[in-house]
Amino acid sequence: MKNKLTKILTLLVIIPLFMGCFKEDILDENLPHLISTEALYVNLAGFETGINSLYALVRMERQGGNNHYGEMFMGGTDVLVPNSANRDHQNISMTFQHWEDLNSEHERIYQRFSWLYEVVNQANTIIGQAGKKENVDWSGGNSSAAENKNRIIAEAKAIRAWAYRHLTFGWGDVPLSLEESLGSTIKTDWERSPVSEVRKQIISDLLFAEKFIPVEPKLRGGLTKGAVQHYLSEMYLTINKSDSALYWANKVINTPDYKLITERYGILADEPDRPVFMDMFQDGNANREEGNTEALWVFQWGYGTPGGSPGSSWRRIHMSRIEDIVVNGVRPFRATWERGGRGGCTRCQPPNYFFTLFEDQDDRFSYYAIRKFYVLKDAEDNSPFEADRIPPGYQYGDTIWTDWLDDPDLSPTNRVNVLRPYLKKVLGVNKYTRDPVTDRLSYHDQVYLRLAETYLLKAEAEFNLGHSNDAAETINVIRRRSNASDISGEDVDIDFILDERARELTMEEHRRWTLLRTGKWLERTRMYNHNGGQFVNETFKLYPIPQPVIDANITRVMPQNPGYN
Amino acid sequence: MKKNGLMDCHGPGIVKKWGRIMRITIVLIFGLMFTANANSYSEGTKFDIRMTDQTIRDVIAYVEDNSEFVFLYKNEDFNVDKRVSLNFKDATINQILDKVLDGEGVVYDVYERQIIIRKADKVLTYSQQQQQKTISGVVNDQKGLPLPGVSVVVKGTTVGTITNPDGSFNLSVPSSAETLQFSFIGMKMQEVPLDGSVFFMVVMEVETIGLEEVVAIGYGVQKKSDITGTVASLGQERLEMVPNINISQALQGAIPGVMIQTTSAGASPSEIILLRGRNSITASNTPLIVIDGIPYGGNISDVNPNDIKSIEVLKDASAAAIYGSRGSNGVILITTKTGEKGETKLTYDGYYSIQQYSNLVKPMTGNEFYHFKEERFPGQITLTEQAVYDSGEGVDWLDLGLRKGNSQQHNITASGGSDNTTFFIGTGLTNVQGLLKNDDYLRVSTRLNIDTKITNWLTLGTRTQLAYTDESGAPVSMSAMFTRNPLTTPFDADGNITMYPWPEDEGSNPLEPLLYDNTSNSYQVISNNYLVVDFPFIKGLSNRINTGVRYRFRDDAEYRDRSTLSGFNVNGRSDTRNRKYYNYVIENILSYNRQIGKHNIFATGVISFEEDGYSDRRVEASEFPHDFLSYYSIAQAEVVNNSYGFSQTNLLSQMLRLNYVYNDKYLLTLTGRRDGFSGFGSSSKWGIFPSFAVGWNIINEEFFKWDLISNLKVRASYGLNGNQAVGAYESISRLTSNDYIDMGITQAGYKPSVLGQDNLSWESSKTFNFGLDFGLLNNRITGDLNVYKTNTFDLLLDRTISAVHGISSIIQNIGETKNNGVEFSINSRNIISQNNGLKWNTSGNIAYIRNEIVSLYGILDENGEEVNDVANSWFIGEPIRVNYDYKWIGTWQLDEIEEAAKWSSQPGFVKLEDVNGDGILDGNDKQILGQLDPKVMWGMTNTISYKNFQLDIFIHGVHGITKNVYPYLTDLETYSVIRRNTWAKDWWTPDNPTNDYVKNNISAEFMSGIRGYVYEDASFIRIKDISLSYDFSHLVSDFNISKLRLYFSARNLFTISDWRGLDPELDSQTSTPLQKEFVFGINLGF
Repeated sequence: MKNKLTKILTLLVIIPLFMGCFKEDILDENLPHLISTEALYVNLAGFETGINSLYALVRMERQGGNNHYGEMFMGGTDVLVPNSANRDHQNISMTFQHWEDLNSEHERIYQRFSWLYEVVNQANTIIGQAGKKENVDWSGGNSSAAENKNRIIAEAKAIRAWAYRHLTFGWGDVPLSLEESLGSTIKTDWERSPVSEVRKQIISDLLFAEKFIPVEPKLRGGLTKGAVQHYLSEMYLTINKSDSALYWANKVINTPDYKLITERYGILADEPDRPVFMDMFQDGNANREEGNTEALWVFQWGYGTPGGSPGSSWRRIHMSRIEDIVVNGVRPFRATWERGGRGGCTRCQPPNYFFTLFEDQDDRFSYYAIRKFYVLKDAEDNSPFEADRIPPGYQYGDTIWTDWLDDPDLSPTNRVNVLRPYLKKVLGVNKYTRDPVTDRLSYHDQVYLRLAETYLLKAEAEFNLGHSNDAAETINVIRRRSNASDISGEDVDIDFILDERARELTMEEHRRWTLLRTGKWLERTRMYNHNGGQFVNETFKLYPIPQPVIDANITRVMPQNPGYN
Repeated sequence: MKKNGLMDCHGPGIVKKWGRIMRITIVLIFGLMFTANANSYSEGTKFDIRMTDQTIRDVIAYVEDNSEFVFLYKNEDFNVDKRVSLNFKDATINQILDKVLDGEGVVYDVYERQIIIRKADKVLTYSQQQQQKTISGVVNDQKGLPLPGVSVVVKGTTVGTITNPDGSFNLSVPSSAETLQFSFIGMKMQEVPLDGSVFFMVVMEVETIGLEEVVAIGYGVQKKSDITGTVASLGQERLEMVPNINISQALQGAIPGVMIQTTSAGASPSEIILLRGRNSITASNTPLIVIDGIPYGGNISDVNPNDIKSIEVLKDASAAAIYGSRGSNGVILITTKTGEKGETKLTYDGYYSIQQYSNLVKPMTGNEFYHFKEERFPGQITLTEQAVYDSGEGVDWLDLGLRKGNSQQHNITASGGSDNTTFFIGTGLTNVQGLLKNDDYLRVSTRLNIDTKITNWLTLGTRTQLAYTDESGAPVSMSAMFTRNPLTTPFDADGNITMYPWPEDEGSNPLEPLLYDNTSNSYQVISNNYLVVDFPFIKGLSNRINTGVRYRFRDDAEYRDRSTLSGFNVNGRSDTRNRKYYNYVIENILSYNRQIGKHNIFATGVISFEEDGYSDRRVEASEFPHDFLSYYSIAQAEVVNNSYGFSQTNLLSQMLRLNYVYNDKYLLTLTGRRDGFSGFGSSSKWGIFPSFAVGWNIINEEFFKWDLISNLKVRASYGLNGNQAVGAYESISRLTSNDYIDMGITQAGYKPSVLGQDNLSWESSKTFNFGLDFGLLNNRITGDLNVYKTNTFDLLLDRTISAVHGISSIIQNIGETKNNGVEFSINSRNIISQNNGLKWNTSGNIAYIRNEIVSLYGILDENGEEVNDVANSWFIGEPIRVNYDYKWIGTWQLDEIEEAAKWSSQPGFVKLEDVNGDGILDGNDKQILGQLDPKVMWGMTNTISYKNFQLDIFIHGVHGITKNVYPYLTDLETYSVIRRNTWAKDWWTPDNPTNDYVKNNISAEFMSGIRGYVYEDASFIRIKDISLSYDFSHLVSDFNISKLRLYFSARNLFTISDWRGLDPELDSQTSTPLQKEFVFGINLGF
């Protein structure tokens, strides 16, 4: 008995010692909660998630807190200058008033550069996976498998082109990456491809995309065929092929589904005094489904919903910090929907020049379009918010005017002026809105690209081709909608077109890119921007290649842009 | 210290053959297997001895040198210097002793190898006899075996005897005798009151302090003298000297080379633990913590320090090698208390303390703030600010948010056991109310440690702990209180906390967290169980199976209602979260431990499997219809965000270790471990970690005869350890969610987030360690010295790759660091107890560490020098964590207007150093401004006892560390129109041309667009603990109370430092200050 026990015991102990008892696959990692490219891109639904993510990445252009991504594309120009006292040399707005702080170590430059290549890599991954994988189930929806596949690739290519557009305007020659990045293929010898070559790729991607992207997007927030054609037109303008630019601009304009907004519509249609021009910027009116026939691409946001936030800083960087306005020692103004809420921080505001551009009757210059004054309101008028605080010597109903043309322009000695006028198109909020007025960020949908700009591209192409009268007529279409007076062919020159773009598209268009494309950035920024414009020079036409990108290119020297060490 | 017990009770003159005596002790305590053939030694050992005119002392020495016999005697009992001559051949020890001791009036007893010489019992006179009574008793060890040779003395007299081979004794004692003292080398001295009893059963306990302590070495225990690696122990004395809320507090300053930095204070402070400095640049540097043999990945504060018997720290490669891929940051082994056979003991330990901040640098008062703001931005004072100023009542936010803290702890334990089963049951309650309002911490824990011997070959046991912690309540924010405008209104007319204390500003009230409905509870179960089989048919072979389960559940919920700004903005906001952490371990340990002649072999083989994971379920919601139901009405919230997190890793290991000792002199340890970890890349799942170590007990060499030195051992080890700092899934390319939205409906999206590496693996550390253990003057002074060098390579480095990849970093195994260090610790019994009862012990330790980066990416510049990673402040040849910035060298003065203008600066503005003198302030002018990890750390404990009083003073020092004093010496965080408070400074003015600070101007902290920061020496010396106790045990023994000790302690009483910020030890200078604590406590035993 005892002997037997001993044997059993021996077995008990010895067996586990030799146990390959654990199979080694116990060390293989299963990712029940994580997903890999291989696992995701097997069917249409998987690829759609990739496309959704692409749009979410693109939307970051209007994201950020104090550092708005898209500021690099529009700020530091003739119509947008900083209005701030701080000098944080890693903040792009501050850099626009201290250009000497711009160097390759600038964190924000690196952040934006990295972000754009993140978009490129996401697009490359989709394009690569869709192209090389054999067994993908492309069926779904009302379209054929082939149509689905082509649309997915088309959207990815269009977004890739969008990213390279920013990259070439921003940095000139840039590395051209067209393959999905893998841990096994880390490159340390990237080469900067000439701008011309990158732009060829942009056009090639857009031409492909144009064939397969539908006129109406599959989901709100998606690209339209019109948007792709618009970018084609702009890219041809960029490479001085105005005839092609005109062709593609006409393609958009002649698409019956795309129409300028010329009538009041939407949720505030019952408020009679409002101009037509402002309707499409209202929360609830931005999308094509909501009546905005002019929209070619609309960014989607949603408060408190995954995928809808973090919110947009588009409003924050432009509007004034109204809670800091001091009148006779009192800060009177409550954050209300009418005022656009709290949290403005004036990173990008128009200089005095901008306000000289308008005729008085131009709707784009009306009180509804531009914050010109504030009225002290009681609790009833501010409802559901509290009554304003009454400064000594004032009463409800009194008007407090913003600093206007008679006052000094924004300049190194006139910064942090919280009483400057600003464009109300960025506010977006209205009495129906759900955006919390106390939040610094916005969550309403925003028009990102619209037909009016296509008209202005068309006009520019016509002007370049010597058809000034055609150009004038094209511009008049835009002007008439806002009650501006008609112009004639003699009025048209490149500066007029740029002025018209400023009237129509400030805070929307990529103003810096536009000025660089037309060769006018240095001249106009110096002339009209007195808070930073006086410091710009040839070097600053391109941003510096970020130092970490140069440093990581161990096995090949990556040249810096001229003027930066 | 207790070793001296024998000397104390016998008075001076006892034989001091420590080395020998030690060995005997070892045999008795650990080598019980040898007792079977014990009787034969004295009969079987024969001597050829021929001596002329030698002293008895010389004869005894000769016998000891040429045999394993050891003698115990008192010099005064007979004339040891009497000269004798001997001539024996083939004689037994009895023959020799009969001859030598003839006529000396002494008798001797031979117990195995131990020979005790004592006075033959005197014939007592009649009158003396009348005053005597005879007592008797038996002395056993913890295993119930009789202990011969135990000295039994009547306390305060020289009356005594020694126990017989069967552990029994008979003694005549004066009727006035009150207490018996029992002492034996290697055992704790015991005092037993006579209480009129005539028969005594005494169980001697193994002494765990000193040279022959047994220490845990991981997967087993070993005699300290046999250890080849660097293992430092923290005994119960330090653990019990002052109460600690958690283990790291007890470790701080107590062991050389162990850095404990309090990174944030408060009711539940957090500490980082570094052993021998920082090896890894980006991976974790935290040592592996093992409790009762099972790796513990939980929260260190969940372990009740009162349950802990001892802590061992494995520092070198050899010692830590058994933990293979997890050993390179060192290993901390924690052993909890167990029961002992005998009567059940009850103890109560409790304390109550009050806490006050040790240092606080208050920001400006309302009055100071007003003038600061007026000077900086005239006319920006708002009406409400003016009103508060006019009322003369600025807010002292700190005064409103801080309180006097207090903490209390109560522990009740019961321990004991029968022949085959021992138990320890302990329950503890800790309740802390921290310095910040609402910073509360409650822990209730229960421990159940049971060992039971089922048969003579089978033992089962458990180490089980249950813990509950409650950290409910959102504490006020220290940094908010530091920076909030003092010209504001904290409460409204009804005494409610205002939503906007400054009506004209968007800032919230720093007291707002007091309004949150916040609960945070966690529950932890640890159950580690074992089964040991001692094989009856192979002596020394045993097998142990360990199983460990740890499960921790944490439940958090918070609701911010509409009376708070953050709740008001979104109509109520809730955050509810459940987290589950779990860990399973199963281990099979086969060990063979046998003494064969002079060879001692201890071989250990281990197979283990461990699974570790967590899940995290979270719901954040806002837009509640009302506040009535707090987070319970989450179903009605309009905006709800759900998330679920998850992670799991598996570890498979095999380990072999061989310890070999020859003749107690020559020691060898060979260790190898093979680890397979799921987090490693698919092509590098397994790693092998070998090490070896040698030791030499020089003291045991016959040729080593130097009375000054009572212990001397040298050790050397070399080995490879790993740092398994790869998180789960790090090696796999994967995507992260990046959603879009359409009409309020989430559109799932994923984007690439991590580029995988098939060959991602552990960091490797090669460590060479040389150690020296010594004892002087009969071990009145003991200590050790260790010198080491660690090279860590294949660092898990978050390497920056070109952003063109769309992802700008990838974790790879590249780079190398080096750590050199010296550690020294010493224990000295400066004054040992003589008749006056005064004792003074000092123990101290000091460690010097130099770490540097040897290599990073292996990229060479044109001169062939390796390129630094400036972006991360990593420099070849420099310590891992350095300050790299522009150097603040003063302030532009009035006579430097022109020079300042060259930098578009002006007098009163900061002057930064243009290092290369090129007239341009740019990246080339940044320099290394000291390191962030200390170079030298030390700790010193002085224990002075007089009779029943004991005074402990513990001092801790940290040197060679430099930190940014941010934000204490800056004004910029007040924002553009002074919306925040800051600290008053000695601002530069034309009349005060200081170089220490700049003028009150928004641009004054900049030069050429670059902001200057002040870096200061953050070294400090801190009187951590002063503790005074009085032991009442002798007064209360009549009440069946075996122990009563009262103590009073002061903690963090005083700090010496030049640091101008809140505290040099803390990470953030605007966090909760470290507390000064005054503790009153009691230890009670029945």
